[in-house]
Amino acid sequence: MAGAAVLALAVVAALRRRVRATAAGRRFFRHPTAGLGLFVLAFFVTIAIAAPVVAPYPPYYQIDIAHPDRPPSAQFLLGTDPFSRDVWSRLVYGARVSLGIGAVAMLVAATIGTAVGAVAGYFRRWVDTTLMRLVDVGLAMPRIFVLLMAVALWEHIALWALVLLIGLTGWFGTSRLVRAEVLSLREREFVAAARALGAGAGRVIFRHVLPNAAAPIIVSGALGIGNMMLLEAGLSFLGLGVPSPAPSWGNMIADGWHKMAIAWWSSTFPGLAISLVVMALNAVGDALRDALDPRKEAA
Amino acid sequence: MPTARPRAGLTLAALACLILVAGCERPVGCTGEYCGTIVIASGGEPDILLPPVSEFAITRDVTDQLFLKLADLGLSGNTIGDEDFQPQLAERWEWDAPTTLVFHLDPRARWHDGQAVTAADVAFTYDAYTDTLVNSSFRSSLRQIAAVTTRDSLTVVFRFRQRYPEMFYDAVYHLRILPAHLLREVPRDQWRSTAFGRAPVGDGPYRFVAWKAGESIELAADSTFFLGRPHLRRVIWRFTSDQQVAVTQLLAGDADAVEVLITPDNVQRACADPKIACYPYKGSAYGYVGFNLAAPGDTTRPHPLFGDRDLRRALVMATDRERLLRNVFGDLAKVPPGPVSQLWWIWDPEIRELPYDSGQAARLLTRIGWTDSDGDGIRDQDGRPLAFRLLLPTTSAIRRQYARLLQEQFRTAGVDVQLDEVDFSLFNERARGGRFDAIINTWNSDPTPSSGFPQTWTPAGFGRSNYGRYDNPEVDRLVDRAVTSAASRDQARRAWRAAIETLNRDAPGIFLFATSNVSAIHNRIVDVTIRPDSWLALLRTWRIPADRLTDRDRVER
Amino acid sequence: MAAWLVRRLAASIAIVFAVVTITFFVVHFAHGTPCGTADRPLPPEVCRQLCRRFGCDQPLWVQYAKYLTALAHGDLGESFGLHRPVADALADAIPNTFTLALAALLVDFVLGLALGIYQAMRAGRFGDVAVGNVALLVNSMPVFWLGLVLLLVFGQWLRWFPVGGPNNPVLCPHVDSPYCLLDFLWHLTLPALTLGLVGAAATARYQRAAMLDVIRQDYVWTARAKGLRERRVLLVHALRNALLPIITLFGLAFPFLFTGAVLIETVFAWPGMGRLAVNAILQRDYPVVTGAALLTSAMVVLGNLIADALYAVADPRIRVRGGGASA
Repeated sequence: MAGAAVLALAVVAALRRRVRATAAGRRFFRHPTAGLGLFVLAFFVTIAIAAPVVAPYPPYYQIDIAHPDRPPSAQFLLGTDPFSRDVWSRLVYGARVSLGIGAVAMLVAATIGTAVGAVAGYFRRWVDTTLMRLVDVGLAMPRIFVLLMAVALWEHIALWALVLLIGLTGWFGTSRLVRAEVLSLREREFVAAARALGAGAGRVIFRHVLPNAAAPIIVSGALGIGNMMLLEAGLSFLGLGVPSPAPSWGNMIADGWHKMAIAWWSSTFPGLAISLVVMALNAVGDALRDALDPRKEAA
Repeated sequence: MPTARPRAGLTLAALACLILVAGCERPVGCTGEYCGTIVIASGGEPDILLPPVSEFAITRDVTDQLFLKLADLGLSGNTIGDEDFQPQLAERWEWDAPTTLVFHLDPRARWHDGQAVTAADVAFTYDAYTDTLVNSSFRSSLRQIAAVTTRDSLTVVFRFRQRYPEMFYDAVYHLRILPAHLLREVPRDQWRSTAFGRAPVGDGPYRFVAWKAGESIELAADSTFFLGRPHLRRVIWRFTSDQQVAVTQLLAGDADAVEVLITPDNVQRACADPKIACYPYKGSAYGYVGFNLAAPGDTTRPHPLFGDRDLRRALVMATDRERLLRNVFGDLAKVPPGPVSQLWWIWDPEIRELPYDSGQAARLLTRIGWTDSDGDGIRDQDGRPLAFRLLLPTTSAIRRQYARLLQEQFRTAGVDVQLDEVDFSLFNERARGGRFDAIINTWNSDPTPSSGFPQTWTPAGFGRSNYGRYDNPEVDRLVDRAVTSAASRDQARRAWRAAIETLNRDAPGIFLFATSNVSAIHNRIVDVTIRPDSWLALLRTWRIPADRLTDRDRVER
Repeated sequence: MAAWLVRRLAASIAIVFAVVTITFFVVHFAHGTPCGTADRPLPPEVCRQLCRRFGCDQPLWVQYAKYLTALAHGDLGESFGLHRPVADALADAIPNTFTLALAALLVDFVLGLALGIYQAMRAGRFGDVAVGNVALLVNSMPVFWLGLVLLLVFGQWLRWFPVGGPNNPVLCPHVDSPYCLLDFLWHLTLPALTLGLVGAAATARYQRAAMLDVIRQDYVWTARAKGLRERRVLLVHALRNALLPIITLFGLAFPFLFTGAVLIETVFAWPGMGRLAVNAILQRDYPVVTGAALLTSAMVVLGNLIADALYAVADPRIRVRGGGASA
């Protein structure tokens, strides 16, 4: 654990030094929480990648089932859960699952959202109207409801399908954002110049418009990962997310829920981990927004 | 725009004062010996309040207060002969012949709509219970009764096919007498969804008041009940999503009673609480993992894995039942020596069973061809991994805990187990239809093994409770001898023991736990007697002394 | 203004209609006949009833048409699990979710407003930074986890609040006296607080930014130049104009509230629509699922509509321009 912390600190310090050179980098680190957020993220990503090295016990191993629910101690850093599994080890392996699901789902959502928003913003007229109506319908149904229905309607839903679904229900906001950016960018000179040179629509979108619209996409991506993670946690809590015995921060909370009164550590630490990571993502997202888009005044 | 902060503080304080004041000004309602409301927190809800068509324990709890039997079990729990039974609907009985039993009904008995209870009701009830269209799960318990006829409006005659020790028990225990005049017109195949089942009319100590689906059922005392007016004026069952939430409500003071405290931590907290009294009693339930000996969905073929007796035996030997029990129950249960509950008189820790021996299990598995040829930690044979799915309902925290522990135990033995956690109704459907590999089930047994055991472990239970379709003619023969032809109690005990030992050798399942129940009831309720086979059977004798009535006891609604 | 309103209304209705259609077809394709699947055969009379209403053997379009006609008459079908009309079950559950959402919104806005103003007044100083970070942390917490922690601390350890349920079932099954009203509010506190706290953090951030924006405007300088006290300047002049983002948040709050309500209602055993929907989904009670889907989307769309209308009323610039943000 200490080793991972030091490594994360080193990563952040190095990054800071490199990035300080650019104006955007300086704007980024002007936020006091940005550096801290980056450190937290680096820490959790490090322990997720180095899980087999960091975790003292395998995540499925039930150490001594006759004596579960051991409080935190030197041997079990964060205690053991009702099935006598080491909470710290499961937290570390769970980081892989939870962070992974958040990142992949966000990738799916960002890709679809960008594509739809770009097409709607570039072509306008009826393409725009139909696509935006679709987005309205999508936004009208609360995400968790749609996901619950999907999970319930298909008896054994595979994990990759669940991740895909989480992504598929989360692209609506991004599409609106991208559409707004594209709408404003398409009137600029460089787009007219590209069109005059005979570039096709696709080429214009991908090589000229999107790179300039990258900033809001990245920012909403950073913030969106947090939302995806919270959603996965909620689903796992209801019993519909990652199936046991694979650890995810959400189903760790669900495992320990009923024993909260006597063994608070099983549910508290995963929840704390989620809170810290999402908070770090929010802080980094905010700082990125200021760094990448100098038009907006820092509050 | 007012500043929000200071005002918020004042409002909160004002609210607090109001609550305190309002708490003091409660109107005086019911006083005296016949007041009181008991709130029972339950982790399950009845499906329908019609005794023949429901097997849920919670339904039995409620219908026990609504409907009477001819006679009821005494506190001793002795099911043999008729000396230990208490008169209920029947005030007395006699044996006209070795196989003829005559009941004389109490003329004071009335249905809650005013009509008198007659012998015709009893005959009608027997007819309904044994009707194939009603398809009651209690039908097989009544198979030794040849006919039920009426001699006059208050005399009923039961004729048996043969003479055997528990004749009287069979005649009275399961039959809850129903009102013929209200149910005669309902088509027999519609009994499971008839309106009577949502608003029943009975003849018991309590009357039906209301049923709020998903929330609560309320009953009110019948002040003219002929066997003695119940002291507690109202009984309310409050339904929660599972039993643990029910226990939490009890501990928080929102409920007065729970049937079982389930876990050692709950017992510790509840029994240490000065406002709660704990009542330990022998549990009537045992839990087990049942293997499906037939192929899922096709009963003509054996199960690809569990049709192999050696495989089943190996799995039983690979399970450390003692330590699993310690994790889930602490010392609130015992490992049963077979499919036996602690309540049964045949409980005997000396009954021979397969031992826990992971080494022997591993050797056996290798011997029958299951080895880990690809090094992934799971045994396989001819390219097929040793993997199966375990079916269990989401409503039982105990079974979910066991499932996860078993999953890991089997994984270290090289067996891959996936969990199928489904809702309760789907669980029942798939269990009955045989669409599973293995199942974790809890069997709530009767006070005697005679009716329940054949239902679960002999072909008589195919399509009913014998979900795994276990069938061994030797076991059938021994059980039959124990139930019908044993000349003495000792002979019966020997026959039962032989039957269970034979069954254990076949390993149709892993017998995990036999509960020792601890019930928790608020200590203002006194004269509490709990009969182990049905904890609320004597509810009408419980009472709250007039000087210990609380606010909600005084409500007269 | 009126024309704009009519257009928005039409768009909203179209959206709800689309949701209804999608739900109907998705559910139909997923579970086959109305008579349940092989695993869950429905009792024969229920099946007969359903076939009478929907026409089991008839083509999909006819079934859909019948479904819509029934919907127009307010008939949402009969629940498999609860044995009562879906409309009744929803009617019982909605007021509970509604009061929870309203209470949460109250906590959200009151607390968020107060914190945002405080932060704006102390901009850049320790108070601002501290509150900002705490708010960020609370906003990042899984709402059900926060609920569990609050339940543990205030319900089980301190015993200040009840551990779940909407009321005391014996004394107050209905809210029919001042005492019962207080009892209801007492049970409502923890769930509403949980939902409200997470939202308040976001509201505070918005409010702070809006206030700081407005403070730099000319009319605020004018007020200061006139010699008004700082407090009056902020609270009377600046605040009025900084309220606009709040109205937008009001519209955005509905989806969040429903998502949160689903989880909170499970944790606190609150008998609202969220819990009803979750149980129905887990038990494959399809009539309730479609009814709940329909109702939630209708409420979300309505919330957006109200928010847009309020925004138009509050900001005269929009009215003059004759249009609003696109739906």
